[in-house]
Amino acid sequence: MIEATHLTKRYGAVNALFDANFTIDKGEIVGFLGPNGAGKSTTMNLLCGYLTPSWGQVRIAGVDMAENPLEAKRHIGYLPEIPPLYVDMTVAEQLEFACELRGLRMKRPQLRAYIDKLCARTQVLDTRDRLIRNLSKGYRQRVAVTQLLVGEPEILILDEPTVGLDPRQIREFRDLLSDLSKEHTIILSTHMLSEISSICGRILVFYEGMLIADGHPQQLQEQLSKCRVLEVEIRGDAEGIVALLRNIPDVLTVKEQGSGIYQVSHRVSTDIRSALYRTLRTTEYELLMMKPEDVSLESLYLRITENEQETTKL
Amino acid sequence: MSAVYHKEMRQYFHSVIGYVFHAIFLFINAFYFLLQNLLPRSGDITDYFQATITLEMFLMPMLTMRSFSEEKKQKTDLLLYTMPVDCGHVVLAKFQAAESMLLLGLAATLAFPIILALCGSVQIWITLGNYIGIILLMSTFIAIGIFVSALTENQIVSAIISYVLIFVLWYSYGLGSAIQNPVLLALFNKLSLMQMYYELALGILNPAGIALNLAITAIFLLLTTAVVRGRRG
Repeated sequence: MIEATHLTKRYGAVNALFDANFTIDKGEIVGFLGPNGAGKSTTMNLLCGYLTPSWGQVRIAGVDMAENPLEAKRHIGYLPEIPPLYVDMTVAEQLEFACELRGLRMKRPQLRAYIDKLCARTQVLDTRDRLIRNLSKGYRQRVAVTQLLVGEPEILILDEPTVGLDPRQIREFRDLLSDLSKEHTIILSTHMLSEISSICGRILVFYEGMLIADGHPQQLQEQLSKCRVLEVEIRGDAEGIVALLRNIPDVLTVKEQGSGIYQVSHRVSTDIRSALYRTLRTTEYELLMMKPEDVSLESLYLRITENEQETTKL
Repeated sequence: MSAVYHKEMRQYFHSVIGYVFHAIFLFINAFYFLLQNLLPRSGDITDYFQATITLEMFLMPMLTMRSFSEEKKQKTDLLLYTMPVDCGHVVLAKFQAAESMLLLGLAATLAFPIILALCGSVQIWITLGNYIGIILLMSTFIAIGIFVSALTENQIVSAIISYVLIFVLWYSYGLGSAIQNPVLLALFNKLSLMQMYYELALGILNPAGIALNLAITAIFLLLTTAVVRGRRG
């Protein structure tokens, strides 16, 4: 559905994005993750044709954005960080304008019915005839999403869609996205890591203009670290336990955390839980708890950016 | 293209700009018609046109100052450029909308030559020449205004730069006489839109003058399209 090849955007001597390569298939929900200035928004702007790449190519549904931008843009709905709404228009006028821009030719009653249907889906029907300037941030965001759906583009690109919303609005927005994800390919960028982990099946991590990781959170963990960590609680003398654990095949390191808790790192490709249980069963040590380290997105995100910072320093 | 045109027209009349423009435009025209024709009981419509032209041209940036600058400032340009719409069409639609505002204003002033015709006689060719001249001239100033608004996010800056460019193009004939260099003098005299207008105002149809006027309008519209495309590059 989306193919980005050697995508590069330079501003003078600065690379806002450098040599990004990725493909997004139909129906995927992809999260763009990275700190401010990492290149997420630049990538989105390149994908939707707002910016032209300095180098590389974007293909949307097989159409080259540079060769046939109008056809490529028909497949995309883009919601930037600041919703592009005319504050002196009513919601209905704004949506009518979007319909006209998309080239939807309908008679007045059909157009009205179509807009009402879209408004009902995003729950903004009650604001239909209100001026956008008088709407709250949450409602404006909903109107912008409604506008996004005009013409039913297959690909929806949303840049930081929940910034400035209160927790309730964020939850409602997340529900709306889940609903949309059934019919659309979605690209989402956000700082809300919980948002990405709850919605996205795949994550692209950007850092200083580079696409540094691509995959499922679990895959990313495996890509970025050479080991997995198992946390265990064992009763008994620490020295003996550490020595015993080190002898288990595929164990790389053992760290004592105190209070009988140990962190056992092992090779990614193996599961040492059975071996660990069997080893301890024949000894006087008591195994109280065994828990694989939770690959939270926060820890992943921090690990990725820390790794990159270290590499940069070196 | 019609989507952007309708949106622009709606915005003129949703804000005070459309009403203020027409109010001032009509007031200036009515005032000078009263001063030049009704009070002195003169049937010579040339004086009325010549008195209003310089004031009218300074109203044009009022129509164009927010054209692209406001879109950029409010970030609504993102909607225009990520929808399947050509940049050139957006520029043309904005130009046509400003042009429509001008034509609406001028349509109201048709009442004045009609009044003269009812009270006595009116010089039809001179009246026609003046209207064609005004439309051509103001179209150029609208194109300049739209071009400048594509360069900045600030409406006021957009209006001020437009005034400067309009002033230079209008008075270039006069400025030329102060220049000693014969090449520059010839260039300034050739570029003078004042010359073109006064020829038409006298009922003289000079194709070269009209072509120059149309060419300047087209150049500024093309430049605007290039700026709009270039800013995204």
